[in-house]
Amino acid sequence: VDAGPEEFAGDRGVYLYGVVPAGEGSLVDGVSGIDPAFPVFLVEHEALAALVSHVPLDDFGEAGLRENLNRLEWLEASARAHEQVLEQALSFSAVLPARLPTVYRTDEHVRRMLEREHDALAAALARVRGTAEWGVKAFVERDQLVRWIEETDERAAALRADAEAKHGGAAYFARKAHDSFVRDKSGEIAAEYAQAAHETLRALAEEAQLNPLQQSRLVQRAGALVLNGAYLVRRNREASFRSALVDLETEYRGRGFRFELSGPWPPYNFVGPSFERGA
Amino acid sequence: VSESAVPGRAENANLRARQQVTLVELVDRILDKGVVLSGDVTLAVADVDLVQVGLRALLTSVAAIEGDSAGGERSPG
Repeated sequence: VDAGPEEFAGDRGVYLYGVVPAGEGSLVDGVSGIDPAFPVFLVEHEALAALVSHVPLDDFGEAGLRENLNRLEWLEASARAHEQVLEQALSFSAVLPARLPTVYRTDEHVRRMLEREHDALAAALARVRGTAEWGVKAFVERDQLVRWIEETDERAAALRADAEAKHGGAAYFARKAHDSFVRDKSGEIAAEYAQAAHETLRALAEEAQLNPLQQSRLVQRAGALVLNGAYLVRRNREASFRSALVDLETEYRGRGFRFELSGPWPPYNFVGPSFERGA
Repeated sequence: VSESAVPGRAENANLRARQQVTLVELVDRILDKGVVLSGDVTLAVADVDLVQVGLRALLTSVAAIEGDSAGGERSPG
């Protein structure tokens, strides 16, 4: 049954933060929403509760979003509000986070989504219960890695000595041979260590995911991003996970590697597309 | 290991730097997957139940963050 215009309730939509098990959302009920005028409330269906709030479609309709998402202040405030609601839920419940912005026409459409996706969502909640997502990025400072290669790799050291001993055109070609060797070698080592670090961390996680190495566009850093991993870690293994990361950094620091940890996050990287299909 | 706690949990003195990293991490998480899965989507509220933004809008947002982070004037919180 299509929703009639009367269901728009004064040109409001229903913004979805995420889904929790029914009965575990009550502490989030009534907290401040993404639009401060409308508090968070619950839409429940059987074992599931959706965390939602009303939003004005002037801001959250297609045209409004197109404009708002390109305003950094709006994006930041909205992203933080979205995250804050989920974090409050995460502190005492399993949570399936929705992405920003997910807007349904009415409460009834949210309920229908819960009904249609019930089994998948319930299974996903069981999967993420007792866990949180942690992000790990590894950066490598190439110059430092190259220095380490020259100190430890005989071929690199020989090529460098060769380049320094020669003059003129011969020195030019010897230098090129050296540079090409260390460039290939540093790329190889960076990829190899990133993979090894990922395997170490994955062994301590329930699930793991490698994300694209696209960070360099976002933030200026001293090093190149070589690992962008997300790890779904049991709360009672967080200490082991952190300690493994400290060990990795200690082991790789001399080779120019540095690690960044973020979290605990709702499991953004470990939920399926259930919310994204039309109701 | 430098750590960027999620908003509201940062306890360290270097709060501003953390918050900036966190915003990028946050936007990366909240928006990025949608881009990969849905491509350049144009959905109207009147026709479907779910509104998602298009690829172009998201990429523009990320570019805006890049520019802003370089300025480094964000206040914490």
